[in-house]
Amino acid sequence: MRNKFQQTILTGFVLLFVLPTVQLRAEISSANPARQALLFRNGDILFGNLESISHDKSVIWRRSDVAQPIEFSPTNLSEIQFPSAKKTALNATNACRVQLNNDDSLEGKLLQLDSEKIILETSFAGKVVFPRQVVRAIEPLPPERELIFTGPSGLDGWTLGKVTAIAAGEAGDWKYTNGAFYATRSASIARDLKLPDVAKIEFDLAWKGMLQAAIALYTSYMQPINLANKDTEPDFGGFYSLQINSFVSTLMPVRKNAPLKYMEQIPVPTFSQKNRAHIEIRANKPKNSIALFVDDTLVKEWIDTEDFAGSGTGMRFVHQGQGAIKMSNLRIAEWNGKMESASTNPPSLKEDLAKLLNGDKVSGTLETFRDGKFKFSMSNTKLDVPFERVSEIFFMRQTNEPVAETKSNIRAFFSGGGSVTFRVESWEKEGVATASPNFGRATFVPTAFDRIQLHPNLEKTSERFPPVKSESQ
Amino acid sequence: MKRAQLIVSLTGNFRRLCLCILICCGSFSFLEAQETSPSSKSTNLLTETASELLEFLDGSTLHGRLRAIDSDKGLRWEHPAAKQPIDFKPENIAWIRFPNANESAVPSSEPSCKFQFVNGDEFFGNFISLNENELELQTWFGGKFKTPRAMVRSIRFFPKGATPIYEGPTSLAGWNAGAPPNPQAWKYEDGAFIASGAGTIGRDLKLPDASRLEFDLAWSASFNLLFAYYTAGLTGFNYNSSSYMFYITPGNISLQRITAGTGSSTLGRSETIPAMLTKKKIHLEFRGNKEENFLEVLVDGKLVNQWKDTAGWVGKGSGVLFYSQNEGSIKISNIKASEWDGKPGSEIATNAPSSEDQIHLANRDKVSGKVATLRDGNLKFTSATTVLEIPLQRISQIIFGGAATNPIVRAPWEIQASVSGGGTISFALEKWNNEQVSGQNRNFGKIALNSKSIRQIRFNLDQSKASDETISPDNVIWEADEK
Repeated sequence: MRNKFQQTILTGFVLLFVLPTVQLRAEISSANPARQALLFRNGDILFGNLESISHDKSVIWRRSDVAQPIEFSPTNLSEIQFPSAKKTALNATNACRVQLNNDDSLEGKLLQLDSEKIILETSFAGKVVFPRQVVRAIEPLPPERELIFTGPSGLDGWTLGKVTAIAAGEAGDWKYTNGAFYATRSASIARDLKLPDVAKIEFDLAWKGMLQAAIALYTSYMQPINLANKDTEPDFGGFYSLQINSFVSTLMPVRKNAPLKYMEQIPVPTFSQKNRAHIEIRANKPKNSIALFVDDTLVKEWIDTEDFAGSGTGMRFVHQGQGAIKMSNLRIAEWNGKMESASTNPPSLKEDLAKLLNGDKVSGTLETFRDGKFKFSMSNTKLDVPFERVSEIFFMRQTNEPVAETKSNIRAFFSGGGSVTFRVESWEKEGVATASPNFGRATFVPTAFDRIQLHPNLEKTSERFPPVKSESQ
Repeated sequence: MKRAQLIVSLTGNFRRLCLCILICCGSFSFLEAQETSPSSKSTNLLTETASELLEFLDGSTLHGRLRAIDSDKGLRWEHPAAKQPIDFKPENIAWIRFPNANESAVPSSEPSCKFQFVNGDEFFGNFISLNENELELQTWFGGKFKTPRAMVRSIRFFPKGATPIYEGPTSLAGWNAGAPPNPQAWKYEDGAFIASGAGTIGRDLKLPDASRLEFDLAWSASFNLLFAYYTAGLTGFNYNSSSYMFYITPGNISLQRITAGTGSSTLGRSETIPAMLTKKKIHLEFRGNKEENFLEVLVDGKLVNQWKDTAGWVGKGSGVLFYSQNEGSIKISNIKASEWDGKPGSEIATNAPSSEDQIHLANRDKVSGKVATLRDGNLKFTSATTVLEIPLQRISQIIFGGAATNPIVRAPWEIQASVSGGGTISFALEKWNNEQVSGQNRNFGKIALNSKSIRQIRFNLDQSKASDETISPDNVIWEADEK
């Protein structure tokens, strides 16, 4: 047993270390919202902050629990991830995505196109000039639509409902915390979100245990409906019920006093193999269509052969009680109704090719882009095609062979989509000085990127790592 | 088997404590942790399966080598990609795991008791005596010594001994992995088996007639895991080997009786297990008693179901088989098989009365009162106004009331070491070298362990790692912001 003096000494010993501990913990915690992640080729991960990248791709990394900056040689590094910056709307006229032969793609305002070069004005690197022969395609971008809703930011405006279905177990409520709704028991939450007739609805979903949820679309009724006894429920109008569970997804038009109709059931491996997903629903009321995208991949577009079932403009999220579920980053916007197909990549083209929004095609020599019009030359005819009528332009090319990457390159991915490959001359907080045979020298804003691959030429690192998100979302 | 030395001396402890304070206030050179040749500091560490693993409270993980620990400069870690060794301050360190720790620290003499202490330490040893002030016991790490009774939470007695039959995994060696349908389904990594597809892994653990099989199970998504207990079929799942088969899904565990050539029959299913719905990692313990035709399952130390096989014991083998049925990733670690004393139910000493001691008898009776002394094979016990004398062999567990409950203030270098052979012990780290780890334990004073016997050490004992219950960094957000 210790005597009093020993205890005193021990207390001093403890305090000596506890006080700095508390201080450091606060620093780590406050640093979390902006923390970045360094991923290694062996699967290791180190959170912290990128200080710089040198021309030989050595990385200087900072952590609050290491006094000195840590220098890593590039060989065993894989990727650096940054907290995603919110995508800023590209509302410029002539906004487009330029696709390069090496699969890079950059978004900006198309300024100029002639027989030798294409000039893009970007928000992240100013004017970027591409030799025409490195460009595979140009895809005009539809104007960004105003967001109708973004949230959640609290429970205000939402209607909590009790789930009464016996199979769902004991009912609970959705709770709001830190930008997200959580439910650990069966629960319903609804709101009139003023869904437009042609709508894009996005949100992030995360779950533990079995995923089992139902999302009511275009509902005017804010309380959950027990589908097994729907005809005895109060008048709820019609809606679509998007049902998702750990294995499949299906859509049901729901109307009172009408038989339940299960539209095609689609397996969704993501729901059993992961515990989070980005969900996107695109609804087109005039076309009686509702499409589900999971992690940016189209799962299914359901077409209702009867009238559109939805009678309202609200949504209801119902957790059906097996495990815990989290919903965040809900964004609703008007949609242009265009279902982008994956960019086709013709193996070779003897002429330039323009695909128009109405389905027509124009082949010939694309001479210039000026005053908002593409000027095509076709045998004996010249044709001006307005920018806004074009769906995609492919440039003449002889081969579809992949472009070899050099070892000194890195590939940086823009937070709003797309990527660019370059050799780093220096990466500092103020700017990323780069060089590329595709666009010469350019200086990028570092916050434009949400991740970089340090060895894009290695197959292993070309696989996308799971995104690392900050804890403040 | 090496036995680490214990230096027990109160006056010696005091001198060392003062020395430790002086050392910590000043600076001293790095203490060598692991002997490695200069040539080993290179990229080949990336391909070594047995490199050590450093985990941080913020979810960072780094493979590499522990080079030294210094209370002034921090923990020096060698990583294959870092141009220089990295000196980490201790405040953000969660764990270091040593996959090569395969040298059991438990002595050849059979321990017969499990001691649990107020500070969270627990280990196997042998009871010697108990009076109103002190407990005297024999430890595997250093002979006899005494500790204040107030520091002891419980003593559990194992008449048949408590030496583990198996503890691991440390590699795929000895396990049957690679059977169809997916030969690559299971891999070994950092002290764990990880399944990323459907497939089986099995081993004959030579389970005795009454056994307990424990492991940690973590998952990244929905899963279906079959666990065959007392099976002889180790190379793939089939119905040709009689066994008990537990079907584990998030939230439920059910048991089937597999009879070779006949088929299966369901013995029952647990109630929904909330821990499996809200967490991504649990500790599972399966117990079977052939003589009693009895099985039970505990999740995180809590009993979730018991089964009595009225048709008689069906298990014909002495092995286990894990069968991951789907593509979701699951991780199995800290597998431990040991003989079971057949006493059902939870062993967690959380229900002790606040002031009275509680005696659990072998016949499953419980008595509350005051333990006076325990020596020469007899316990003197006061219950109400009656003084009882109970032979030790009739006692299965003593849970002490009135144990110290004051929160423990821990220093950054106070670590908890988990050792091969079972058990954890915490101490303020003084020295770490290739042979020995030494420090000051709150209960026993100065202790020294064989460093090769340590499977993992935990830092910042009052903190939990951001992704402690997850497999991938993708999940950090959920644990951090969930209420």
